Amino acid sequence: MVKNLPIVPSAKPGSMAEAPSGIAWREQHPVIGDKCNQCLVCTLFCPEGALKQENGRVIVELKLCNGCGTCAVECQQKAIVIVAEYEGDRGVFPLKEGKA
Amino acid sequence: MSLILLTGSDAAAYGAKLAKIEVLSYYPITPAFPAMERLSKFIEDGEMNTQFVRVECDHSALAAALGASLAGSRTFTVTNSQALLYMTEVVYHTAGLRQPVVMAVANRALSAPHSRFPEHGDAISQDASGWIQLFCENNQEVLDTILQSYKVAEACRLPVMVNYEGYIQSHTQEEVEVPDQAEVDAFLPFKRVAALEVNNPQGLNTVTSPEFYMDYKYRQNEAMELASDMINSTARKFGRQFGRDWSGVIEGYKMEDAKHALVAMGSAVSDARIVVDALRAEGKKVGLVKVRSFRPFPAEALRAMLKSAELVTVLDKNIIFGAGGALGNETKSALYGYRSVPVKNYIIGLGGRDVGPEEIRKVITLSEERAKQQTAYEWFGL
Repeated sequence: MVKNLPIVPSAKPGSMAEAPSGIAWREQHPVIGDKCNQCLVCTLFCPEGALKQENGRVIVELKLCNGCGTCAVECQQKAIVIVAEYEGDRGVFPLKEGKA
Repeated sequence: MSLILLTGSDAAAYGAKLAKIEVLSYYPITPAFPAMERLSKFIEDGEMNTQFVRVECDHSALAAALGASLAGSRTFTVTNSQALLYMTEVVYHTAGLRQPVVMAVANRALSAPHSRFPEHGDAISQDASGWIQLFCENNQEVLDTILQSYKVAEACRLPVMVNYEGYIQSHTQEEVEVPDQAEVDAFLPFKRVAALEVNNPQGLNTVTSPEFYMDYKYRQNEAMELASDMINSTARKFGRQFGRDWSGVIEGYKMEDAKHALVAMGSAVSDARIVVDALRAEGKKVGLVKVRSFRPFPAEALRAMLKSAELVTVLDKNIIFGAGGALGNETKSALYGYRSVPVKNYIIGLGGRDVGPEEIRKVITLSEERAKQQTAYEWFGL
């Protein structure tokens, strides 16, 4: 069934932010620790605008974060820790016997 | 209405003026430039209320027209050959964004080697772009087709190329009837449709996922298929109002009992009419099919016109290397599976090599002599 779409290919502002592609392939993301002094340098360097101040704290919007780690490098307080999305085995695994 | 001598370029300019275009964007190239010169004179003399956007390249010329169209204005540009290739990216944008831009194309051969002379290679290079492509046989048709194109483009939300050959048409004067402004206004009312609206902001041409892209393309193709009817009805309406019938997507000339059918488009059509008349006078049952709309291609109508022809000769002023002429290929494709009739495809007049009535008559004789020989296509005039 063909979808009914606008004649001019278009979308409301912010449509891209609702479903950013980063979520699918992000390998790591930052966690803001207690050493944060709210200097907001990280918010200036974040290429995705994923960091913002809310209620006196810096928070990460994970649906925007691409996991580049720039915030952790730029943080003068060393308050940001980068955490892996997946901790299990990586690479190509030999087939286990009896399983296709 | 007034009857005056106009070149094809002038006719295109008069068409754009009568259509009351609001934005003209242009970058100079030969042989399209006299149309722009004439339009800029109209603007300078205060005869048109048009914003003339001077740009730094052809890519920007169409981009400016596209932007202006997205903002809701009636826009026009004119180009050919290398400039059309340079525009190609925006040619596809304009079609995909469904903007009713009308572009006159003074067809010229493509480099290399460099040539400034006429053929259809430039337009054919854009045959998959999603633009309606109309081909004119004389200067009157250029003017009339520009007017009809805005009606078709704005109804179907598709851009239109109006093709006329460089020099043969663009620089050659013919008698042209220029209709009165009031009559054109009645034929061509303008309803503004703006995709870019200050009070309703939206992202245009956004990144589109596999979930939606194919559906957009289906709709675009659907609009193209439906455009044939609109081109036909617009031509009929134009004919009723102005007394000149350009017969929509296709025209048959003396095809009723024709055994040998010529198929052509562009300026070769008017020469072929002379040849058909001459051969008819000698008692030969020769007819002519003029393909006016190359995109959308009128396969069904062409098939109907060729239903009793015993030999079909297709004239192509273009070459798709390794595959033959574009019109020849379309004609064979239209007939395949319906009729088994020899279709002889002749590549003629590339890069300005002269093709007049005498040459077309020779092609007809050659085609009849070689009707039994199965060749995908042949070159004439080497």
